[in-house]
Amino acid sequence: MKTVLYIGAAIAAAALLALPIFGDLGTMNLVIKIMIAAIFALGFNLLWGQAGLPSFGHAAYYGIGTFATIYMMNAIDRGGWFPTPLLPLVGAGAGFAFGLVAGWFATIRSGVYFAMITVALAELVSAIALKWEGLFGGEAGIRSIRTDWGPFSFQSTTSVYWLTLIWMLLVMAFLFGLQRSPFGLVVRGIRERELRVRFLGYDTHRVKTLVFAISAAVSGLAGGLLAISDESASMVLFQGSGSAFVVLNTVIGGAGVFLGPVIGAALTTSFAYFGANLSHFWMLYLGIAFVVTVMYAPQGIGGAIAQRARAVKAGEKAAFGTGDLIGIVAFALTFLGLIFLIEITGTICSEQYRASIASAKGVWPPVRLLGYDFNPLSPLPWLIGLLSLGAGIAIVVAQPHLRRPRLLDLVTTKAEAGK
Amino acid sequence: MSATTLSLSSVQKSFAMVRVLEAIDLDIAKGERHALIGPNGAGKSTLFNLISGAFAPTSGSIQLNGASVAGLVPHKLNRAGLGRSFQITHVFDKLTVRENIRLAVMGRFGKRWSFLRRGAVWDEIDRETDALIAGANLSPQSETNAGDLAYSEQRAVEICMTVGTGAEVILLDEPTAGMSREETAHIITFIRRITEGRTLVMVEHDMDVVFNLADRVSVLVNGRILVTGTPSEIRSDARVREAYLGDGEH
Amino acid sequence: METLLVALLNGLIYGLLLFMISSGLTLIFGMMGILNFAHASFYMLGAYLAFTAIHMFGFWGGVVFGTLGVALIGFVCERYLLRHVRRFGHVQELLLTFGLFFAFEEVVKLFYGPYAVAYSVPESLRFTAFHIGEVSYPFFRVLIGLTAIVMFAAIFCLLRFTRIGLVVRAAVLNPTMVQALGYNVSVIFSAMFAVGAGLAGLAGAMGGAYYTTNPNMATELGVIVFVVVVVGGLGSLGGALIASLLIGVLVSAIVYVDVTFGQILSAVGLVSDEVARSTLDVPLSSAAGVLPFLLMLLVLMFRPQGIAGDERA
Repeated sequence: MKTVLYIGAAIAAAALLALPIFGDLGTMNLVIKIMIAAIFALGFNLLWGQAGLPSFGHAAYYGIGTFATIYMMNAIDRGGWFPTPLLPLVGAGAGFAFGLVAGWFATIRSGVYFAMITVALAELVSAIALKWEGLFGGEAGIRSIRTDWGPFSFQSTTSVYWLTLIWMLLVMAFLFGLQRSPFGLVVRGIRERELRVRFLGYDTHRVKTLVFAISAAVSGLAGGLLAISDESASMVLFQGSGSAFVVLNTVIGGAGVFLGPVIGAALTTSFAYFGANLSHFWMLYLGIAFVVTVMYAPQGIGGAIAQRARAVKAGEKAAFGTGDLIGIVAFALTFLGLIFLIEITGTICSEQYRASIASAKGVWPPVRLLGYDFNPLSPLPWLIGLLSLGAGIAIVVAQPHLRRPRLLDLVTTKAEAGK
Repeated sequence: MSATTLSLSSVQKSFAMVRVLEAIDLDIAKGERHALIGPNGAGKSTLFNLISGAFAPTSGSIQLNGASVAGLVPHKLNRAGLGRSFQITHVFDKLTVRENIRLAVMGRFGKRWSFLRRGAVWDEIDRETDALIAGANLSPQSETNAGDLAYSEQRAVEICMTVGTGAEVILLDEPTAGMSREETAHIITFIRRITEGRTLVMVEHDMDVVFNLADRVSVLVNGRILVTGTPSEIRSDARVREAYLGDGEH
Repeated sequence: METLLVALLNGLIYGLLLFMISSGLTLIFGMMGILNFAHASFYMLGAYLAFTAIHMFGFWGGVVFGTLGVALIGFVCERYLLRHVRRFGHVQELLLTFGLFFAFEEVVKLFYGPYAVAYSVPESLRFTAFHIGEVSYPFFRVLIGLTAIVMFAAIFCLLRFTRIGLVVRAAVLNPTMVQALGYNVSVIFSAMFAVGAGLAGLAGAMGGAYYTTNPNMATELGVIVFVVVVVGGLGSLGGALIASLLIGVLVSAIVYVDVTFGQILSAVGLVSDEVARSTLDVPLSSAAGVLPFLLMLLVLMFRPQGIAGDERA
């Protein structure tokens, strides 16, 4: 099993190293975005997976990191001394400082209270950013440019790629070390049973505040890398969707596995990149995928893989069995059905479509789907959608091992990943 | 008797309008093993919770080595030298036995904010952790998650943690509750060994355990201490027999 | 004076609307320990369903349809989704409702597009209720407030004076005990969830007509509702009422305070008049948006369990 892991890591490393040579600009930009999302999700998961604190407002620290970095970039541009490669540390510093204050408030309570407070704090930051145009640049945002540092040029996308890659590896090493450190043990203890940790002599509120601040710092660092990559920042960063995406990434990827959030970030960022071109409704697919993950694989994709790997090692299960094949077929059918229903409904409900009906004098133009034209008034596309969806769900219901989440203990995988 | 470690004087506690404890005076000497017994509803748990800092007393003082500890928050109380264990096991289910105990020992060596394992102190922490694990006969299970242990083993981990914080005064809440006779015998030996040289205060229902383990016993009835004395004194005390032992327990 | 009175009245009614939504959230939390992220989505769905049905059944028909439709959606969510993740703990439930919140917004965009729809108060209800000085006060606003009050009275009586209410109150305090007494707690849970959702739907059907109906309304309101329950204390109806009114009135009233931050700071002597008139010439009223959050932080500092909360959470 270890060898598989090492081979996988080697392939990933080779791909990341070879990308600037073989990859086109678009792919490189996508991978930069994935790496930034991965750092953000890893920082978020320190709080979520390790400390068990469900934050729903991490966009605030990400955005603050971006703005702080943009301001520093402008300062460098005006002749400041700060080295460009260390710019993400500015974002991290801003995130940390802000995280200390926000974390102190948020960690007064835990559980769902904590979740609500993080939402409200993020909204507070967002409201301030909206009003304070002088600092946050209003709708237009603020811009800056990358400055070269010594012999290093930072004008090309390739240079940004290398910088982001190096920072991602540093963050991973840091967080992995933190997880295994004595402090990491205290943090996991708090997740398990906070009261007991207090009776062991630890001031848990201070520990939680610090974890929150470190998590915010890593998020700010990711924001700093975004500033370097985009050379701009706007208050859109503070909106709820930023906080939502990092939760999606982490949960879909698996909070209990160290690299789970990275898997999630890669999947959703790629999906957003390609999906946005293919469909107006890609966010809905993402939302459905999230709900399905929470229902059927609460430990996320990474957790499911880790669990299967353990079962294979113990000789309990094959690496890939007929059950998995049936599962994939069911998933594909369900997804196909959803695509038909969502795309056709969405298209005929759009204003554009109504306008084209009017211009065609009441004739409903065909809806193009998967390369074919369908008449939305004929039952055919609806039947395909409903039958496919129904068949997919029927398979799931008929397969007892698919119907319910198998006793996958979310917390077990979390704790085991922590070791 | 040697110097007093834990001293309660005229401690009262009321919940809403109900007075649960009235005027408790109790001095516990250094190195003493002291048991609190009494019929149900006598206020044992409340007294235990007051000493362990779960609530603050309504009035009166609780002193540990001459300093007031009444109403201190748990982590400060622990650092003042008072460690409590819980009746319902409060081990960390998803951490290994070693991690559970190390968490307690780390705090004792002042490594509450340590990000790196550097320095000789970590050898000492590991030694101490291993010693506690060995003392509880848990060495074979040291890498098992505490949640997967048998109940009595979890209790042993729980007590190891309380001791591991280096607390001078150890509070045990019904250490043998829910155990078989065999397990009980084992845990008594373990408690006696591990609390050697420390002060122990425990709430316990099982009279065999109390008379076996305690140096002195206080009998609580209706929120007051009826009598405090050695096990043999308590056994022969007429009032205790009437109030407590007499009514069907033995 | 009159404008202030109008502002206070507006605030009071906005507060009552907030209460219609937060009461369901807080009751569901108290009983099931679920913090329903999608609760504000029920408000949005109420508005959209009412808007859809209005062409067929008229305005009142639309309101009823919105309320019942959302109650049904709430029931389905509890019975077929939430119940299955319950054993994974409250955080997993929270995640599921978070996903639903996300999905509901996208579903609404799927059918109605990303912009506001033309859902408004019907002509027949657009008249003046009374005058405050020169200002005429719209009847529909009063109606929103009255709906909330009637609803609160109904819930209060139901909880206080009926046998079902007794069981529900007991289930809020100790669900396991009520189950042990032989009541079917899961039916009570589903019903409560549906009622809470329906109340939010009713609020949406009424509020959506007066304010705006767009896919963002759940996000905008949801955050304020969270603040309300943190300030009021999760699980407490009375706390939710006080906090709703407090926030409603504060937010509405501050808009009418004609002072800038600069003036305040220079009056205290922190900055010079010069700075006060230039960089800090920001009116205090622009802080209306952040005021609820500041109130929440204050409450957290001095009374972490909320105005009427207990220490359970």
